[in-house]
Amino acid sequence: MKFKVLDNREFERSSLSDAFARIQRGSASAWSVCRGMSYGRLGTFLTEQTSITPLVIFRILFGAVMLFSVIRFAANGWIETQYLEPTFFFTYYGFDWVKPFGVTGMYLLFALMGLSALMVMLGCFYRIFSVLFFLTFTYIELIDKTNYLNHYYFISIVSFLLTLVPAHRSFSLDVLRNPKLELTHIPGWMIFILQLQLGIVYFYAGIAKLNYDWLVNAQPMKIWLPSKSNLPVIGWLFEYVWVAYAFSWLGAFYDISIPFLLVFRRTRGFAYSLVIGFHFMTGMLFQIGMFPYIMILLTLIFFRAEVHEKILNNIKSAFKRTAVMLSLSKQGAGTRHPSTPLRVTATHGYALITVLAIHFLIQLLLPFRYALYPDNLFWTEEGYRFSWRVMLMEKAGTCFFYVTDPKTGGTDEVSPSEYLTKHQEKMMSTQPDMLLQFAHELETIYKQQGIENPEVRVESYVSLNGRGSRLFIDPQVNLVAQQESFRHKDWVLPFEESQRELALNREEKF
Amino acid sequence: MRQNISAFLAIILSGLILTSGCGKDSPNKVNFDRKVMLENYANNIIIPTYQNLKSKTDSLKTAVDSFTVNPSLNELDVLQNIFLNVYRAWQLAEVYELGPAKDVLLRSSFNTFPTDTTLIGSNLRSGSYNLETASNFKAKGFPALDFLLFGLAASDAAILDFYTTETSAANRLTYLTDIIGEIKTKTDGVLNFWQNGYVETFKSADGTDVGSSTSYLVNEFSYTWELTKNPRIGIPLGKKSLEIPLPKKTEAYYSGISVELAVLNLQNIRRVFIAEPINGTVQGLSLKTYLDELGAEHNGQPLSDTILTQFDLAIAKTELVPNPLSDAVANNTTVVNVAYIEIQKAMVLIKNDMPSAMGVLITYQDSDGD
Repeated sequence: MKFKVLDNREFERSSLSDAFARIQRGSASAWSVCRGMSYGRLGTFLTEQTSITPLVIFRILFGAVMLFSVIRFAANGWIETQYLEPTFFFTYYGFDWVKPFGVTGMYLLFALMGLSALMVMLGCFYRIFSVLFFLTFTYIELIDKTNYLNHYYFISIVSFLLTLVPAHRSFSLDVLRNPKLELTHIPGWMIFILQLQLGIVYFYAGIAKLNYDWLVNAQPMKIWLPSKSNLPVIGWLFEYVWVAYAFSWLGAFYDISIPFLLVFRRTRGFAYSLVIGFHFMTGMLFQIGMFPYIMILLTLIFFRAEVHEKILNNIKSAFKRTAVMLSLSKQGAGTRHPSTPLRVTATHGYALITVLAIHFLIQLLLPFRYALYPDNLFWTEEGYRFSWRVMLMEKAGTCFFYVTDPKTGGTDEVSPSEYLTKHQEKMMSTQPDMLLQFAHELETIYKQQGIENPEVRVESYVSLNGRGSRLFIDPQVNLVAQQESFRHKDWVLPFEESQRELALNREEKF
Repeated sequence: MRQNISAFLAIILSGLILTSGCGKDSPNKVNFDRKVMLENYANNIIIPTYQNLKSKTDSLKTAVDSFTVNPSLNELDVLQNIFLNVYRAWQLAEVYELGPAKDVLLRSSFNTFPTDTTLIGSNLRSGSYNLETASNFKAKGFPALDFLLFGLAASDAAILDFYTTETSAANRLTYLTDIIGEIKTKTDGVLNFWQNGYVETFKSADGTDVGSSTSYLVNEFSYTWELTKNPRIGIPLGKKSLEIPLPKKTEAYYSGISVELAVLNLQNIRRVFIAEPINGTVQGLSLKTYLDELGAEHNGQPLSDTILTQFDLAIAKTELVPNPLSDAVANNTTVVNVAYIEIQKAMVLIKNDMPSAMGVLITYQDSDGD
C-alpha cells in the first residue's frame, strides 16, 4: 500500500493545521476546497483537537467483533464450504489474479486475519496489524463474488479507514511498550470520517428503498414476513399485510433519518434506541449473521467523548484485577494532562487528504452508477453491488446451460450443480455477469474434453419480487462470444413491458 | 426531542394510513398455519405411503422366502410381480427423503441406477460384502433386484437356472434375500420412526428457514421432479452425452417398466402438491392451498393453477412415450423429447416460483445474507 500510516517521529514535525495551511499556501487550484475548509467552520471542526477515547473504543469493539466473526465463520465450517469445496470461483472483473490457497493456505489466511483482529483490539503493533486485517479480509472477499455481502464490503471499508488513524495511541499495548506514544487528543476528522462512513451506509440504504416495489407493493416484505409467522410473541403480526407495509415504510424512514438523528445531541439517545430496536428486529427475522451487532456497536462512534470515557472506565473496572490492566488503567482519558497535539508532515497531510477525498467521492458517486445503464436495475443488476442495496428483493433463478459441439451439432444440457455448490448456483442464477463467467468456464471444460469450439447457451428463468419466473437471458446467444465489460449486456432480455403492465394492474387495485 | 419523535411518528402514521387504506381488494391477512399443513402431510399422506410400501415389502420378503424353499417358475413369477409392485410403491415414497429417510439415505440405498452388474457378480461370488457401504449403493436396492429377477437371461426358465443349477446359485439366492432383507429393514425402520414421535418433531419445525420441515418438503418435492427429468429421462435420452442415447441408464432397464414408473412418480408429485392421500380424497392444508392463501401469481394467473396445468401436461406427454423407454430414447426421440421439455417447464415453476413465493430458503447451505 502506498500510503503509510502516520509515523510517530513524523508526527512531531508539524501539526495537521500546519499542513492545511501549507496546502492552502500552495498554488494548485485543485486544493481550493481545502483552502475553504481550513478557514471555514468545517475546517475548524475537522482540525479541532478532541478526545481520542471514542476512536479507542471503536478500535476495541471493531477488533473484538471481527475476532468473534472470524471464529464463528471457521466454527460454522464456512472456510470449508465457501473456499475449499468449490472447484470454480467467480472472481471480480479485474481481480482474476485473486485465488484461494488450498487447505493449509486458507486456514493460515483466516488465522492471520483472526490474529490481526485480536491485535487491532489490543492495540498491539497496530500499524502493521490494522493493515494486515484490511488486506486479509479484502483478499478473502475478492476470491468469490458469490459471497458478496454489503456488510462484508462495509467491514473492508472500515478496516481501511482504521489503517489511516492512530487508534492505538491510548489504552493499548503499544502505549504500554512505548509510553511516549500516548495521545489524549486527536484532530476531529479522525472520528468524523468514521461517522461519515456510517452515515453514508444508512442514508444510501434508505434512498435505495425509495422504489416502486418497496413502497407501493411492500415487496419483498410481503413475501418474507408471512414466512416468519411461526416466531414466538410477535409472529402472528406478520400474517397481516399492513405489517409488511409498516416494515417497508419504517425501514426506509429509519435508514434515511438515522444519520441525522444520531448527529444531533438532542435526538441521539432516541436514535440509538432505534438503532438497537431496528437491528435486533432484522437480526431475528433474517439470516444476516453478525451484521446487526456490528452496526449496534460501531454506531456508538456518534456519542460524545464523555460517554466513551464511561465505557472505558467500565472496561477498566471489569478487568482491574489482571496485571496488564493495572498498567493499562493508568492510560486513557482523565489520567494525564493533554498531550502535545498530533503532528503530521505536509507530505502526509497531502496524502491523507487526497486518499480521503478520493475515497469519499467514490462512496458518494458509486451507488449512482446504475443510472448509466439502461433497463431495470433489479433485473439486470448492472451497478447493483457496492451501493448499500440491502435486502431489497426476493429474486430467484433456475438455469439450464446448453453446450453444443458445432462439428456434430450435438448438445449437452449442463446442470450447474455438477460444477458449483448450491450456494454458488443460487447466486449465479440471478446475476448475468456470473452466468457469463460460468459459460466461459464450461467452454474451458469442454475444450479440455476435446471439443474444439464449444458454443454455450443458457435458458434461464428469474422471478423478481413475486412476479413469477420469466426468461432472463437470450437463449439464442452464444455466450462464448461475449466478453465481460462495464458496458450494458444486451443479451440480458429487457425487463418486459408486460411486467410493467402487470404492476399497473395491481396499482389500480389500491 | 419529544417534538422530533412526534413529528417522526406522524409522518410514518400518515404513510401507513395512506397505503393501507387503499388495499381494499387485496387480501389483508395470510390465514395459514404451517403446523396444520405439516400435520396433514405427516398423518394423512406420508405415513399411509410408508404403510403401503411396508405391506408390499413384507410380501416381497415372504415371496423370496418361499422362492428359496421352492425355486420354481411359478414362485419366480410371483416374486417378479411382487417386486414390480414394490418398485411402483417406492415411486410414491421417494419424495419424502427427509427426517428418518434422510438419516438412512433411503433414496440412494433403494434406487441408485444404473445398477453395477459386475459388482453384483463379484459380491455374490465372493460371498463377503457389506451392503451398508456407499460403494455398494449401485449393487443393491430395486435396480439390483430388477437385474437379478429379469436381467440374468432372456427367458424365465433360464433365469431360474441361475438360482438352481448355474454356478454360485446358492450364493445368488442369498444375495437376493439379503438385498430384500435390507429393503424391508430400512422401510420398517423409517415407518416406525414416523409412527413413534417423529410427527411431533416434523410439525414443530414450522418455520421456513434452512432445516424447517416446509423447507425440506419443498426442496425434496422439486428435487424428486428433477430426478424424473434428469436420471429417469434426460440422461438416457443423451442430454449429458451430446445427444447420444444411453438406453442402459434407464430405471428398471431389465423389466422395462421405466415409463410406467416415471408416470407414477410425476403423478405422485402432483398428488403431494394438493395433499391427496394415496387412497382417498384431497383434504386439509397443502402446498397448493398455501400458495393460494399467499396470493402467489404467475403471469397474472394463480401460480397453483399454472403449476397444476403444467403438471397435467407433463404427465400426459410422458404417458405417450412407448414402453420400454430404453427403446424409445433411441428410436422415438421426438416423443421423449416433448415429454422432457414439458417436465422441464414444470421444473422452473416448482423450483423457482414456488419457494420464492413462500419465502422458503432453497439451499441447504447455511450462510449469511445481507
